[in-house]
Amino acid sequence: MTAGEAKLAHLFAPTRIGSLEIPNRIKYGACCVSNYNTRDGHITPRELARTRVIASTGCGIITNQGAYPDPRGEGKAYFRQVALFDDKFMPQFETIAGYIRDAGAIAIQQILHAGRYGGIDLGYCVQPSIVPQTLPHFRPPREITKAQIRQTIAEHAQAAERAVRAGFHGTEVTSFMGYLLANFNSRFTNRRSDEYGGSLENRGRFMRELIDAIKQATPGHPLVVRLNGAELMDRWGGNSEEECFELMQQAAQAGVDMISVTVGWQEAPESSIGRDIPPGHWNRLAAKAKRLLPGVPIAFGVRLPDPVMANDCLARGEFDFWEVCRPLLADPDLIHKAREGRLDEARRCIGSLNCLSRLFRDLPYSCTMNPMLGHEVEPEYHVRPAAVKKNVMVIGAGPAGMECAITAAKRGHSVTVFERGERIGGSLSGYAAHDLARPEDLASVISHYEVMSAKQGVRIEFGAEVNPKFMRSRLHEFDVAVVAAGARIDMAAWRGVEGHERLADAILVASGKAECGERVVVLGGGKIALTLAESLKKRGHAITIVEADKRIAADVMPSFKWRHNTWIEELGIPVHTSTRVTRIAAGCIDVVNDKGVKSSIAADTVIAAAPRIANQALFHELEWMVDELHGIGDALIARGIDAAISEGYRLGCRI
Amino acid sequence: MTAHMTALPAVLADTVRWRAALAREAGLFAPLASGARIGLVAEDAVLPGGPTDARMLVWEKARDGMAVSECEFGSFEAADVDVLIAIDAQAQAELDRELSGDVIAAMRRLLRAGHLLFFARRTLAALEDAGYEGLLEQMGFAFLGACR
Ligand SMILES: Cc1cc2nc3c(=O)[nH]c(=O)nc-3n(C[C@H](O)[C@H](O)[C@H](O)COP(=O)(O)O)c2cc1C
Ligand code: SF4
Repeated sequence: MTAGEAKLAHLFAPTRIGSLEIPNRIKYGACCVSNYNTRDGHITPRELARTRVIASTGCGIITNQGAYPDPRGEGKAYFRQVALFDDKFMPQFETIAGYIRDAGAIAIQQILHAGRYGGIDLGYCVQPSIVPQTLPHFRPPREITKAQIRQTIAEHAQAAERAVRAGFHGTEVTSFMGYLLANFNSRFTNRRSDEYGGSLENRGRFMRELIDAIKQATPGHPLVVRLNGAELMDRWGGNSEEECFELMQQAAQAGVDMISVTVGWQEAPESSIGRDIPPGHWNRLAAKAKRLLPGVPIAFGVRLPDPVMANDCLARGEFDFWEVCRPLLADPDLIHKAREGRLDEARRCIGSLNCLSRLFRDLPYSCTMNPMLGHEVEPEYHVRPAAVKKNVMVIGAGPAGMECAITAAKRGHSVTVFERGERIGGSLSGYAAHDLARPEDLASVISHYEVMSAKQGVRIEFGAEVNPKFMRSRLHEFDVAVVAAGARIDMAAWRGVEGHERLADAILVASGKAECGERVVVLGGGKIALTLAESLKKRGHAITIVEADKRIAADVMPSFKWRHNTWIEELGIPVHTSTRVTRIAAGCIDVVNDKGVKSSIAADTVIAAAPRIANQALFHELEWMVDELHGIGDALIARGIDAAISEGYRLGCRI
Repeated sequence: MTAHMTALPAVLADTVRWRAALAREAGLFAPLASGARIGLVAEDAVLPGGPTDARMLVWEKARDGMAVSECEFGSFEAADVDVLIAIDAQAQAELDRELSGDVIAAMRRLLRAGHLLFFARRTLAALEDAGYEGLLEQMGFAFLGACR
């Protein structure tokens, strides 16, 4: 037994479902609608390479991504989702089932009919009843007829039978996020007056028939059903929690072999898996399901990112399988690290939702923390020993610089990072210090780099003045220089404003190097401005935001814009958009809006939090002084952590 | 059933104040195509088992700005509007207070807090073609899957 297995004994305890032996209590949740496939549902080499990684994550059960079951595409939720409505799709499913079996895991194929969120290639979607979309991204609804219900159930069963024929041990149907099954179960979308609507018993009929049909088509093979423990739609007529649990009971009685408890609909007014939800927040729903259905294996993992927490939940009997999704996107080796007692090396999912944001923009998913994700098929993304070992200088210990340094060191290069400050993190430290959602998430990125740089023997010189003279004095030691010096606030951009010398630099305020008075005006409405404004407000300052653009949060990830907007409103921070500052005086600033209306705002401190400008000066200084010169991250163009990590990694693989 | 039983809540029935509120936001409605229609109903009109004779406040883009009127809601299918906004009791009370102030900001706040629900009765592309993009963004309606 390894150190990790002893410590996380519940997580790594083998178990059985029916005749199937399962090596541990970890289920890879269907977190793999990837948009990597062809528009007509065929699995691509890109997907196969990705699933090979998934298969070897060390999970006891692996759920393969949801395939839509109907040739019409009514069930299809994503442009490049895989299909399983015909035998022509079988060869790649056979390959995937083979990967999972070879890794010693139980292979489950998910059948995903997206219902209300489906019909992505069509002009409509099907639902039990006509309830228009609350997210206009989706297609207008058509009511599914009884004949179509029978056909849809048959198609699910045929798809399940195909999956089993392809070598999967079992199948899964999902109501996660408000898909077809959830649409039938929920009062919100099911307003039928026939035997499929009305009472809970009637609303659950579709699910029971579905379970029955799949069980008959795949006798002896387990069937998992994902069901909401809470829809978070109840205030608008959706199911109450009690109704959700009654539906679980119906599923159990219908003979389902495992229930996976999920939370929320996409259109729910509340957040369910974002960074503002504390880990473990929803565990009570799994525990309730387990108490209600002690004889049915319960899988759960929504916003439960930590193997240690999961082990504790298993120990307390709150559920039977930790169903893990995003944490394994961020670090496919998480389970191995846990097993080997190396959890300090884990790259934690920071809940950024870059992955889902991209899916909903019809892009292949990627991960902030895992730059390899989706590129497994490309040799250029693999860390291979360097043919020529080099001495590498990295300037800047932010995410871009550290990612590059660690990756290059893994390949055998000798790497030294020069950092002006006293610690790793760059501008991420500033965000972490002021983040209202969960600073620990951002801090985990920094501690990951601290651990990994030490383990990879990366030297870091702190307090290293990043100026050309100093760099020149050391450059002869290096074959490669990487400029990862990040971005700064372009204070020069304010020179035309009277009183600009009174401005405080947002980066200095964020790092605690500049103090603020009681009344603060923040110039800018981007992520730096918002993060700082929210935090200062929480600390008791009176804040006003002045943004020249029409709206705030322009540089914030789509899935987090609403969060900043909500905080700003909840905290009562006045926002003046389409407004420019014309004068900064002692105690106040003068502004003018796009209609020419002038006003004054009281201010003891005025913070410039925009515009951002890349720290590029060193490119020119070093150009003729070193064999190889590269730039990465915000030092190229001011963006954010995703680009920083991705570019750092890619350069580290390439040097 | 009498009209009295499912009459619009007082705040929605106050077409005079709504007309004035929308006139103050004329710039926001300017890009809307002529005939663009937004309906507002009390929440029970859209809840399962709600009244079948609920009334609806309608904002309609006319040549000289936004016209405001009241009509029958009917059902999701029957309601002749591009966008339907359902409003719960708390939101009705708050809108009543805010109707003379910044009503769009109030609606945005209420939507985020889950007291308003927005239904698109046309596709995203059709709404964008009809000039809704700026207005709906300003009101805080999510234009992309809000998996959060
Ligand atoms: C990129 C991505 C794709 C997903 N695809 C599916 C899917 O195909 N089927 C499904 O039932 N759930 C899907 N999910 C939901 C996850 O399985 C999981 O329930 C959810 O992410 C919460 O778990 P977590 O906090 O461990 O990520 C997906 C989630 C993400 C982030
Ligand atoms: S993109 Fe963000 S939320 Fe998604 S898995 Fe990666 S770190 Fe987690």
